[in-house]
Amino acid sequence: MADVKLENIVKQYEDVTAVDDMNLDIKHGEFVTFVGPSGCGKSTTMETIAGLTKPTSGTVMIGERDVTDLPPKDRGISMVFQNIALFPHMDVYDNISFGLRLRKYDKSEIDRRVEKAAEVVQLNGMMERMPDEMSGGQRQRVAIARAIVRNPDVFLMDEPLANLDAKLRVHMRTELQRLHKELDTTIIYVTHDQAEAMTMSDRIAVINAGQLQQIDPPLVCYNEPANLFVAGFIGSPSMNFVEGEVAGSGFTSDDVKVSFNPSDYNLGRGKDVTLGVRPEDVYLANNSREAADPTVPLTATTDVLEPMGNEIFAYLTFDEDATSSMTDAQLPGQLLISVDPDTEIEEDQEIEVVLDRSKIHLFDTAGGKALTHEITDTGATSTAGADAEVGTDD
Amino acid sequence: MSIDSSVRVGIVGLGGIGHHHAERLKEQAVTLAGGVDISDGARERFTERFDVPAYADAEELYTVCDAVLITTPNRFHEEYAVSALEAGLDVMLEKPLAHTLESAERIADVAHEAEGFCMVGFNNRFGNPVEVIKQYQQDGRFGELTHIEANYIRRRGVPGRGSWFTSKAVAGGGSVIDIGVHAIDLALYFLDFPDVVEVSGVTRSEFGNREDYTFVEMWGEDAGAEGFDVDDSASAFIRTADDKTISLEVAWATNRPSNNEFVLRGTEAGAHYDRASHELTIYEAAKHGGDHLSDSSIETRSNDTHKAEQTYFLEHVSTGETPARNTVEQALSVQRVMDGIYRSSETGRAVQLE
Repeated sequence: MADVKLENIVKQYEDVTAVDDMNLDIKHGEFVTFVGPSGCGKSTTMETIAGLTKPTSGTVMIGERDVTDLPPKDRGISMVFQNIALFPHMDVYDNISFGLRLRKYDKSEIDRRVEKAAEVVQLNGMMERMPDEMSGGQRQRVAIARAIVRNPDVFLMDEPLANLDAKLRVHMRTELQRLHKELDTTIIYVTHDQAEAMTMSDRIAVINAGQLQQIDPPLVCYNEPANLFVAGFIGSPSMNFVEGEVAGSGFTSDDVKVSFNPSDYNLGRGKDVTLGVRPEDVYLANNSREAADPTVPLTATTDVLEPMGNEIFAYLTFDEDATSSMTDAQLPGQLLISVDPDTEIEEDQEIEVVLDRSKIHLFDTAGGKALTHEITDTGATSTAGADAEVGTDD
Repeated sequence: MSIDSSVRVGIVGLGGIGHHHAERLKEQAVTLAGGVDISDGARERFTERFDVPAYADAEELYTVCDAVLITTPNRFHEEYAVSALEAGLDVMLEKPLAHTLESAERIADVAHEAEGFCMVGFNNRFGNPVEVIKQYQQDGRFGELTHIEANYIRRRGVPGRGSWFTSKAVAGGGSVIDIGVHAIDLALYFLDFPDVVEVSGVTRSEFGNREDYTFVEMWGEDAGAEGFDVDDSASAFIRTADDKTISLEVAWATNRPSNNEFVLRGTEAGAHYDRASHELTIYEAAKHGGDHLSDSSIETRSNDTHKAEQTYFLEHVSTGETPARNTVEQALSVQRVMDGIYRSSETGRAVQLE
């Protein structure tokens, strides 16, 4: 059994804190993915677990062992990187078996393990191929087999699919999931690809500025983001945000008002809050019955339309001055919605939309912390102002 | 530390630098156990000169050795370093670590896990003036070193055209990877190997590729311009995470005087070191007794840097202790900078190193 625990890990480089008091408890057999923007500390955290980076302070536990001061080779881990790093002068068998030969394993044991690993990654019959005779996907399988033969307690994978083309990446995602099931081992995985994180992980650890923002199953991160950062980072396209404040009747901004009883959420009047709603939780008013709990309709104008095939992304504007050059969802006076591909919709068309109150999130604007992930109906009615607009109030 | 006389050392790669090392090993208190080369002629010459066996298959040498010096062309460093480490031997690998960054990283990965250690042949660090500079730096005499000018400029000195030195496929590059590697290593060594974050450089090929290349002396034979596909000079600027900087000038050939000078600029003192003449001067200023500037000329014994490096290696082979100097990690940092210079030159812009 190999649980991985990080206790108060700090990694300081000169005046930059790459990892800031990180605490993680990963159970044996879990598939946990680290996600976050470039430079957020996800790879440094991984390197700390691997032993490639020594933390400034804190403890790394693998199983019952404190491995903080152990070199990588003594930690019971195997690593797979974006850079596949096969030895070009060795064939597949020699590449896979190299780590075992370095550790002086018996030939018969090496043969047994290589054969089993090759079977898992479906490389049987290719043992004598040289790396330059193989495709990118095959080479990555060799790299994974090389990690498997060591029977590690923990696999560490840092963007292992990043160098593969899109189609192969999707295929290898399912391969890795199958591998995880077969090996019943702990996998810690770093990626910037949300689809990988969402589809493969038991839990996602969202990291920003060296700090753990949330660690939860993918759908919990998606549906119940712990704070504004997670809400904005998880999900593509991003959640829409509207800054406002708590009034006696609920949420209010220059543009949007949503009624609820503030005391139900322990919110004081005048508190700055941000309303968040995902594009798929905004509906055309004539489809409002699809929303579990629709607000009253808001009138808006379509700006840019992006037909994706299976859906259309429509950028709505509530601001007469907005132009079609404003294409980001979070621009002032804009709201991104997702509609059915068969919807008859054109640019510069006046439409009415509703938000699903049961999917509205509220965040503390100052600290970013989530306050609620639904607005429940307490008898009050959701209203939009007469000059109803959705957007930020600046 | 002392050298255990029972230590047996082999040499992999029996060309010029292999012989150079073998000569010195014969003067050390260890046994030169043999050599490896794929060339029949090279093996014969080695056996004849040093009266030890020479093998075509490295595995045969590994069974009669405790350590090896690898002096092959750059492209073969990985194959022999990896197999020697796999055999449980200690390894000293001639510079550069490898012909490409990817190959260097693979060697480093193996070295991290191997029983034996891998040291990299940056012999210039063992020159007595460099030892003095390093001691002063550790004593704090320079304050904080903030900028290094590193020069390794030959007026004419392209090595044997047509040999592996001038083939990108085998050497991995030209002047930068052959002699720039020393200048970069010394500069980073003086700065205590800070994280390099940005490299901007231009490499040129202006002389070695010319049929009318004019020279007075050449190391090796001249087979003409055909096949010359590497750089013969480069200029680069290197910035570290804490804003320390290195300006680098490297050339196998230029129309200017040769220069192998290093200038160190520190907050409390500076230094000028001419590696060609071994002259070292420390530049200081003080207030006591009235504002004054002070230049100290440092005289040291001249020494054989390859032999001093070997002694350090053999002492560590004897004790089994991993050397703190000339580590694979440091060599990998040098390799990343060289790779950065080549990428910067190719792309026409500064490159960020992660």
